[in-house]
Amino acid sequence: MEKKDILFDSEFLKKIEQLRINSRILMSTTASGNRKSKAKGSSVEFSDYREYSIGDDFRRIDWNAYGRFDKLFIKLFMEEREARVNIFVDTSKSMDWGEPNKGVQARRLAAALSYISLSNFDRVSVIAVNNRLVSSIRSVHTKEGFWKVLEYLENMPYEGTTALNKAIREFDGGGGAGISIIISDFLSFDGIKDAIKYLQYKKQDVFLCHILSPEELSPAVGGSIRLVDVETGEARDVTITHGLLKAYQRALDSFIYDIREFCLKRGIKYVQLCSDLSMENMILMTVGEKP
Amino acid sequence: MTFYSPLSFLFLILLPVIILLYLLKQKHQDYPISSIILWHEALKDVEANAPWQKLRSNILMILQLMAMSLLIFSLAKPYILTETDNVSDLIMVIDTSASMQCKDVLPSRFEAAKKEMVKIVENSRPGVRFTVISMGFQTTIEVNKSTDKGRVLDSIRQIKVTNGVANIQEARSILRALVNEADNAEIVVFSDTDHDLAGGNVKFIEVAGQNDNAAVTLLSTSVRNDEILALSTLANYSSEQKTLSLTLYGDERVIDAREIVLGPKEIKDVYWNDIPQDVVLLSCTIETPDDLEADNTARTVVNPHKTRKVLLVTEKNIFLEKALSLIPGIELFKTNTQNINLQEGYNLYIYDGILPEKLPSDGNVMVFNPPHGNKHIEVSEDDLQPGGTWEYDHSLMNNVNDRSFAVSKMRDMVVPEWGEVVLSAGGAPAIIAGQKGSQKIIVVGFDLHQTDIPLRPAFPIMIANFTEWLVPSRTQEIPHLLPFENAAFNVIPEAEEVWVITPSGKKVSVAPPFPVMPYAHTEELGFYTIEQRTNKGTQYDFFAVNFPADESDLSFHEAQIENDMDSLEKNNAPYDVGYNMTWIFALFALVVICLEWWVYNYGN
Repeated sequence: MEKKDILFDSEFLKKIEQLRINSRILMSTTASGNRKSKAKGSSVEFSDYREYSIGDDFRRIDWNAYGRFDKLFIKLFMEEREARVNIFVDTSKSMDWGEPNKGVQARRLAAALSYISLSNFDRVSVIAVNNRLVSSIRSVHTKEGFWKVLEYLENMPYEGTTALNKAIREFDGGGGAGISIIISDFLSFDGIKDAIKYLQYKKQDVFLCHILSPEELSPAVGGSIRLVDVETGEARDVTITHGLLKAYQRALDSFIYDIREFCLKRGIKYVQLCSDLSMENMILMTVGEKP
Repeated sequence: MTFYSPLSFLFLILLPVIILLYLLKQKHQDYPISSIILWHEALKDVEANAPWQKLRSNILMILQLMAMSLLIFSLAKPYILTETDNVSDLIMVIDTSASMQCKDVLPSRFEAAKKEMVKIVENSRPGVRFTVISMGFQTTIEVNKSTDKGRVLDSIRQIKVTNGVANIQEARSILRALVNEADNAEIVVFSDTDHDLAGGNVKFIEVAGQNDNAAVTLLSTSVRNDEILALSTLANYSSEQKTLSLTLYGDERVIDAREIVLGPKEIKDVYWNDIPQDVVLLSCTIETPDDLEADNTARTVVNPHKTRKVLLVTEKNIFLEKALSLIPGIELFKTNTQNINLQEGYNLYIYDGILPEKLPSDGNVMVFNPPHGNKHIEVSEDDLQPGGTWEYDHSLMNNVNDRSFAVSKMRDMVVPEWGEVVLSAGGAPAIIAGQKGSQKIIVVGFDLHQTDIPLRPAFPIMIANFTEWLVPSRTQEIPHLLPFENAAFNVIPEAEEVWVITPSGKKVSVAPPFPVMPYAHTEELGFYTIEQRTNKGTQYDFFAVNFPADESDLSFHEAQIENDMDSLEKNNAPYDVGYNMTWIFALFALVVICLEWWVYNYGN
């Protein structure tokens, strides 16, 4: 794949730089970052007062309060911490399909999300999964690290079958709470639900980006054809009829509805994207803010 | 059932081809998809709804095979045979006489007969040779032994009903000739009358129903004391009493109207008085509608005798003067030979023993005893002493039954190219008549004083014949004709051009060349106009063509059929030619193709 297919022009990068990934989870890592953490820390954002005890940093004693109450209080500040953002990219063969190609769009989306996270001083991991955990680039931070992410994404091959449940469970949790974004078509033989449950158990705020190509959403095909699964090579001779297309549409709707319902129940953000969307719109739909 | 184009079964080869195509088609074109998971779901869904879904492609193939087979069967021209199907020649005779216009069979007898003929042609097996004959006033072979059904159908559709009477004799002789020629010929006659054509070897298809007809069978006029009196004859051919409203038209204006009650089969004469004297075109119409409209009007032309001016140039001829004065409508002017150059204003110039240098141009000419050395008739110096028998068979000698004339001497004349001999004595022409251009001339080659002819009863007859021919009382000899009868004209001598204008307004030139040939295209009913143009102006004369009264009598035809009950039974049997199944098979094929389309699209 050409590098230019992934890379964004600087104007676009500037736009997405201002984005934050909304996350309800306050990060619990120790490294300082750009997100609010449960821990009190040294940021400028005031959180609470506490009585002084031995060993406290006396530089934080509120002398005005001491003057009023004759007791030593120290000011507690919200500590801003970095978030761990884990971006799972489905690299099964089925993603390398469609016009526009779902794989290209998935990588672009992953790159954009990485860039946004890095701009927010988050720690980004990109994990390639198909029927197993293929490879990953871990704990990239600072904008300089973005180029590494880009390089990784560029060289990411699309191959193998999809078994997201199995593959994601191979993920160790990234060392604590974080945000897990899964970019996939979810056309996985073993489903996705167990994987989501696993990630939530690993204190991940899960975010599903469901990419489907226009051909998958409404197949423009007719006559008698042999449907060949690009992943498994499984073939099926069918005569495409009006009725079959309607049945396909019903199956697709039920498939999307099933995932959406599951996400709604578990408080997971789900967004369904068509691969013919512009990058800007994709990010807008994913992040919920205008770049 | 038989197939007349069995070679088409060769197309059955296409059936294995369809199966082969299906087998080849089983290797579907590969269509890569991202995942088959959703398609599995969809197929499961579809198959659950339509258990025979798996068979669907087979059903399509079976339907295609069926459609193809039906089409091939249809191409093979399947026929259901009947006994009559072994005929190789089918001669169809359609009556185009006037009575076929009757609407007792809808839309008319004639159209019903044509429809029947078309049906027979369409359903006949291929290879039958069709001969179509229309039997009207003239018998016409419209198609002769054609196997081309399209052509046969075309010509059947083009046959038109006429106003004439069927000429049975002619039809019979033509049919006999045709039957003798063909070995295995079947004759089918479509008519309202069983004319017994070609003996009993004929299938007669009667196209007649219960009819209701009345007609004006005659309209004639007479002039009495300068008053026009018209007589019309009405006939009620139906078996019920009828009240008819009758109208008399003069020059297309209503002159009189009456209500006439006619009993069943009654014929009644109706007289009309008080007809304006200037009326020329007279017609009498039954306004009450019936099954045959054409015979509800009879027409005639009122021709008051015209006075004809005759100039007799003679020194003295009492015989001629007497004979001419007997003829009504003749105004005789006598002059002596000194006024020989009086050449204008007369319808007939009679020169007795003399001839002017130049013949008059505005009238016809009769010459007695042409002088020697005249410029018009070549006469030898020596006169003849006629001997031997007198011979004639010319129409100018009609009603003359005398061949024992005595003539002491007569001119030895050379018959000019325009003339023909009316009377000859021992082979020499004694009387010559003819038409030189538009001028009629009679030359009598002897002096009346030198014969005994004026003393014989034949003389006034001859003179009357000659005069009627030279100066006829009417332009058209008969005021009303039947369709297809010849209309003979007596054109005025100075006429330069003569036309006939038909009732539908078609203008047909009949002269020049002179003499005018009788006009034969009188198939249309109504008033015909004869237009004669001279250098002095245009003269119009008229004649009428009426519906033939014989054809009005539809009940007569019925009676004839009813008289012969056996033949009625035989005749009424429909002519069975088998049934062409081609369209049925083609229709089924179409239905199957539609079904296949439906299964293909909505089969689940």
